Amino acid sequence: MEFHVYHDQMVFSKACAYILMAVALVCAIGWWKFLTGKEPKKNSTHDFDDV
Amino acid sequence: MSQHDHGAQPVILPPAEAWGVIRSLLKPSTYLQFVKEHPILSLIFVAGVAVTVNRFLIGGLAGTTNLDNNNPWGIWISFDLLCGVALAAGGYTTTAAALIFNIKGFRTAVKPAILTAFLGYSFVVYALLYDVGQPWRLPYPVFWSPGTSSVLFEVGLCVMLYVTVLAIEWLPNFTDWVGLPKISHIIHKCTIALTIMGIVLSTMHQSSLGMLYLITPSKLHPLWYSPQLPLQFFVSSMVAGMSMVIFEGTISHHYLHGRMSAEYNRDHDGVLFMFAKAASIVLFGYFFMKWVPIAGENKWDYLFDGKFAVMWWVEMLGFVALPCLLYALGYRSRSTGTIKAASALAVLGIVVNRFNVSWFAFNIQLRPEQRYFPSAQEVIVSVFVVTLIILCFRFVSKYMAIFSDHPSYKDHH
Repeated sequence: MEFHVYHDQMVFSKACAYILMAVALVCAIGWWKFLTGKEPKKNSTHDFDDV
Repeated sequence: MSQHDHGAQPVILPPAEAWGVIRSLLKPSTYLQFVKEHPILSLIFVAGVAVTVNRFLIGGLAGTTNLDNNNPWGIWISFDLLCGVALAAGGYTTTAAALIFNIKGFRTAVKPAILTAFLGYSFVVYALLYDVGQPWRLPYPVFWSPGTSSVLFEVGLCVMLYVTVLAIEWLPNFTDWVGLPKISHIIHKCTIALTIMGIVLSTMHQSSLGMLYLITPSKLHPLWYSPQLPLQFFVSSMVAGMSMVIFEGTISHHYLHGRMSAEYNRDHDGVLFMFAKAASIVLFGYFFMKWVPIAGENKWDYLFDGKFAVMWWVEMLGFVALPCLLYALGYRSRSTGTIKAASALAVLGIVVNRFNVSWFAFNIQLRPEQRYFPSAQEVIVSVFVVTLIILCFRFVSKYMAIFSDHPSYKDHH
């Protein structure tokens, strides 16, 4: 992509970075739900359930 | 989900016999027996010793390596140092989980992780002796002429201090073995202080290794060059450490099962699952972290430009996204096989990443005939070093209480 002034490039790059971060945050919630979806309820005494 | 039999307590030699084992290391007959039992390893040793003699007494760096003024850092830095330090990160990740976050299930994984880290770092320093032109001057930057504005000074200082910390953390295994429990007792009182030092020093030098490449914006391909290299190196070292603990635990389970206590066997799968969960989360963050400089520095065009783009996509999809997904699937379904496959892929991914940054995507401004390719002797030294690490790990695990508590001093720990 070509830009005629440095300001245009900065605006474009920043916008891309912000969109990426928003996508990452939304994906992170989905990933966490997927990862922990099958975890048992925290009512046992196993050491690892405290994490 | 695999089922491990919870075997009996492994037999640890009494201290009097331990000294006998140490004395046997000084006898030539021990090594003749080794040659008979392990001919291939012996061949690697002979080749390694021959190259060592050539490096230090006959040919020097010029007669041993393909290094030159354009490529002063070769495979000994890419593999032995960068990969070695990253893959030895299991020490600080495991001790942080077990002793700082106080997750009890990780306790049994601490001693193998510290041993792996101690051997890894020790042999990083050993391998560095081959690479440094005047190895006897290795302590100079710390003790004689400190270059406090240099990143390499920080790396050197941190590695020196961390090897010392790891040696102290590992020492109780030896002192328990030879019957010096008082020393072990004193060291155990310092455990938390040593652990905190280890984490701080690791944080500093793991990131500083990435920082070394900040000086090379014109040499490193834009897909890998980023002001965030230190952060990327540190975060990926966490994945490397956790993956290496799983990987090393898998191999140890296969070959050293008889040395493992019932407690270790009981906790083994739990350690696997929790490290898989943590590694998956960290890899997920790392995946997006690698996209930030692409977006923030407008490097989109490079993503579809030539062989470096293919290498970047292979690294990102095959060695970051795929192990991340496999770890998650393994954790969800409690499948140790999937987690072990993910750990092997993640370990390989760290090697690929470090090779890309320091070798394949580095010095791209040079003509093809000027690019670096390691000599056979350089590769032999790297194989020799890995073999030494494996043999030392096997020796220590065979005789000392690495996968169990020492039966004589269990109450001391």
